[in-house]
Amino acid sequence: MIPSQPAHPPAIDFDLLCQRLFDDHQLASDLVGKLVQRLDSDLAQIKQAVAQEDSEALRQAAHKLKGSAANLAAEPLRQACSALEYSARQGDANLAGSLLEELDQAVTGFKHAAAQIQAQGQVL
Amino acid sequence: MKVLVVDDDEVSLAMAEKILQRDGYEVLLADSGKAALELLHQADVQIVLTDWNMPEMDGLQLCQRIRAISGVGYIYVILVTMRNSRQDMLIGLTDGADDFISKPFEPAELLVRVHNAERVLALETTALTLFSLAKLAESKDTDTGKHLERMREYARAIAEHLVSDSMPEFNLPSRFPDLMYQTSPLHDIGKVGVPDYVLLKPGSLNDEEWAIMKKHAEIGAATLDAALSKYPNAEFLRIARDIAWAHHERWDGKGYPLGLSGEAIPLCARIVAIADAYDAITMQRVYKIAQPHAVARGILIQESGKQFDPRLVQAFLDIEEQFITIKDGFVD
Repeated sequence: MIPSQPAHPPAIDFDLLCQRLFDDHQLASDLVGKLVQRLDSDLAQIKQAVAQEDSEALRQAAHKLKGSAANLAAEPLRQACSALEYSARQGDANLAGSLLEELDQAVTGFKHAAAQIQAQGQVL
Repeated sequence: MKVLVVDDDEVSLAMAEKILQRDGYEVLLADSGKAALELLHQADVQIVLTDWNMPEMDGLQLCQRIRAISGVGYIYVILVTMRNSRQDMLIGLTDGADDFISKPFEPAELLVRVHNAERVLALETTALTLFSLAKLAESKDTDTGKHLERMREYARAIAEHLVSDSMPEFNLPSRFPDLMYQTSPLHDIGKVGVPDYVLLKPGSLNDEEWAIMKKHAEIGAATLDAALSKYPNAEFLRIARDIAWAHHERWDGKGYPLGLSGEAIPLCARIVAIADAYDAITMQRVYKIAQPHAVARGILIQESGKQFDPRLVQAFLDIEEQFITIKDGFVD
């Protein structure tokens, strides 16, 4: 038996993120907030790079967002960015275009999870 | 200890800052290679943790720029990467990175890497301490000024020549010159074991006093040998010990303490014998005036095959301009 991986990893694994930050929930929440603020412009950059078939710009933008997502334990967003980065390295514009929907979903999921985290923080 | 963290992603910066600050490090942040270089010029930073993939100046380029800065002390660079291929690591190491860590940071791993950096940097301090101790031992002797500074330069210069293509028969490892540079200042540390009435005697020594003076070779060697017995693989200590006991041996077998001849005398000690003699001749002492380079050169040639290894005298002649530069560069 292969150890079971959750079929759908959470948009943000907040517990894991807090572990990495020595249980500083406030900082974890702040960092998530930082990415939320940046997310629309990052997404726009990626879409523009795909539209212009600028694979170097796409590689850079996808790589950076992948890094932030990885740090914040946002696995779906990390995977979506990782796939886009791969398509950019391959110079495969068709593949890149087909991956945008997955990215949109991941971004939406991330924002939703971030809003929940922030709401919980206010309750606590 | 200050750590400079460089990343274009503020999330990464904040995470590294949190982890490092919690462990007591003073953390400086830079969001680009350019900003990092500016901070390096202002602050006394010894550890740099830099992202690999950044726009404009990437982590590798930053690393090269750091290596080109010839500031005080060594800066330890840890490259942060999401890549893990062996190829990438080789590129990074060639460009001067000291270590790698992958993103996202696991706090425990990041701290281990930074602690390692501290340990490596501490080794550099150890080398400095050793030289200070050698200076202290030397200071007991009369005014020998910058003797040790010149000695290690001479020893390294000869060693570099032996390592170079011009003398392939020696077949020495490329680290040999650095080892000579580190170890040669310890050649006389045994003098701390020589009583002051002998060491500081103004006139010439009688036979008995001379016998005591000669003991410095064995005393120094015994001290270093005690350390070597605890760390048998420490090449540095082995060379330092061999220099300490054998730097007064002569090529013709008329030296002390063992009266060995030729290649039975360790090469490191034969090199130090030449460096030591050259410096003694060309520098002023309370009992003698400084002789010019030409005189030292003449004596070394005359003693080639007697006091000194002829091939090393030849090496000296090949690079004598360097000796003059060193001599004039470290004036007492």
